[in-house]
Amino acid sequence: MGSSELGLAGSSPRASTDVLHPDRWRPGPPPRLLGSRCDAAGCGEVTFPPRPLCPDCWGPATTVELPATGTLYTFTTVHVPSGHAQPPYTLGYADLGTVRVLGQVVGGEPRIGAPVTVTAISAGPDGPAGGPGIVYAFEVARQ
Amino acid sequence: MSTAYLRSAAVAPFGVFAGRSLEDLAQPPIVSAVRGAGLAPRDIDAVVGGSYASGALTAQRAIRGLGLSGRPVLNVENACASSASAAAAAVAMVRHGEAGNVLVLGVEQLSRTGSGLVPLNDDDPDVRLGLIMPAAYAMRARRYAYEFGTTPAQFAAVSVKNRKNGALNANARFRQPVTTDAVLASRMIADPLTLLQCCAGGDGAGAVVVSAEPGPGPAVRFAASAQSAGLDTSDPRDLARSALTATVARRAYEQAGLGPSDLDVVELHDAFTVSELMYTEALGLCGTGEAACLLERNATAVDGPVAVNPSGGLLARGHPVGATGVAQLAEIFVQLRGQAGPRQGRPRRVGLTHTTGGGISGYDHAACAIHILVRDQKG
Repeated sequence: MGSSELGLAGSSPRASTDVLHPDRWRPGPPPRLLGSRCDAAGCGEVTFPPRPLCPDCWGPATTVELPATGTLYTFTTVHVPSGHAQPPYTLGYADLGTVRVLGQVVGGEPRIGAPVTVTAISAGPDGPAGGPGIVYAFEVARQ
Repeated sequence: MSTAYLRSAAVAPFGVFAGRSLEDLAQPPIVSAVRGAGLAPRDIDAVVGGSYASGALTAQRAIRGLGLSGRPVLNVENACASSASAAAAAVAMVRHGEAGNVLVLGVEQLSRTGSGLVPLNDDDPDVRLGLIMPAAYAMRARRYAYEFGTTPAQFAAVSVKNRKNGALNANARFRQPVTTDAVLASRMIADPLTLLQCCAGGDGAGAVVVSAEPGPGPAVRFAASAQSAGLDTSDPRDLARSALTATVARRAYEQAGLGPSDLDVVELHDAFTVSELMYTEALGLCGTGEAACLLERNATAVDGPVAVNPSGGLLARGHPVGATGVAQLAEIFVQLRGQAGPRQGRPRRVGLTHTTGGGISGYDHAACAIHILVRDQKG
């Protein structure tokens, strides 16, 4: 759904299902995830990924950078192949400001509440884009 | 508005049946359900089919050759809640007088996908990051244990109970009881969930008739039928609780004029061990974080005050995704009629089915359907 089809002027963010799409993140350095914030007074809803319309009030929204650091809400280490990642790999939800985002977790031993930093990692041959590339992840500091 | 009854229900044994056609799988329970309702094919006013990954026009293919064509036929896809949502559509048709008898069928052939994992949309961003259903629930389990202090043995106890129940169910895929140690020692799938804490997909089918008349035998009435999608939101979702199940349950209880303390028997969506604990709480059978204790007290056993998953649930019965909703209705049907054989721990009068599904980015849970069924006293 492009912004022109929604009758919006300018360069509003586009909805995208490709996790490697540049609208969803900037590889950096430093890498940052992108969201959108509703422009309407009194709304200010923040979404991830960026949306051309605010889901709450359908007002136009502006692309914003989500915080570069956050907190690990939960995680799991997967021991079976998923088709897009080779085991073992760790997935988790990180709280970046007011949004909770899924991503792979790398670096030190993960634990709930651990501080994380948004990073970029190489995806394997079966990576998110269906081939080699880089993807965002959350890095736990090594002790 | 008319009353809708669950007039009959039939389920075929779940398992892996490579080489069997969709018709082979679906037609025995369809024929049993229509005959069990005391009806002939011409009496069926409409057909609603639920399936997740069986391809186009599943219901039309399933009824081929049975004299059920040439009338309204709908196909419903709502992930795990597909045939439960199909039943909700049938109840609405009967209540609004659009049909007198609606055949609801649920069918799935996951053995054709060649993987133990339920197939998810390959263009979904979370799936592309490596999300599989066991991982989604493993993250819930880790958060749940963090908040409530749940031990690995307490999670495993769900599998132990449901496998014990499944051993009493001739239609269950897994009929061997398991021990806590065996559950915890089985292969790690997504930490902390081991293999025996995850349901298996496979193949299966079931059918029910929803009717404006109760038909032969004790009357089983739909006291509530509620269905909803979850919220698509970026707000921090609470993975230790299910907001969607709690919301749909509240609507169902209001519709029925009943509450959780009125329930005698529940079939809920135990796709993983943590699921049963979370949904037991979201349905209001106990407080948040208390489900493991409820289970330890045997309150949810086959002969307990409120049996939870006496059929063996998804963990023992198997989870051919689109067939699960009708299989749950079939279990409640026999429980309320006192026909559940060795799984009939007590006479049961009020039952609930709960089916919920997810697996797409942005939604905590994508769909949930809840039915409350009541066997009215003979009057």
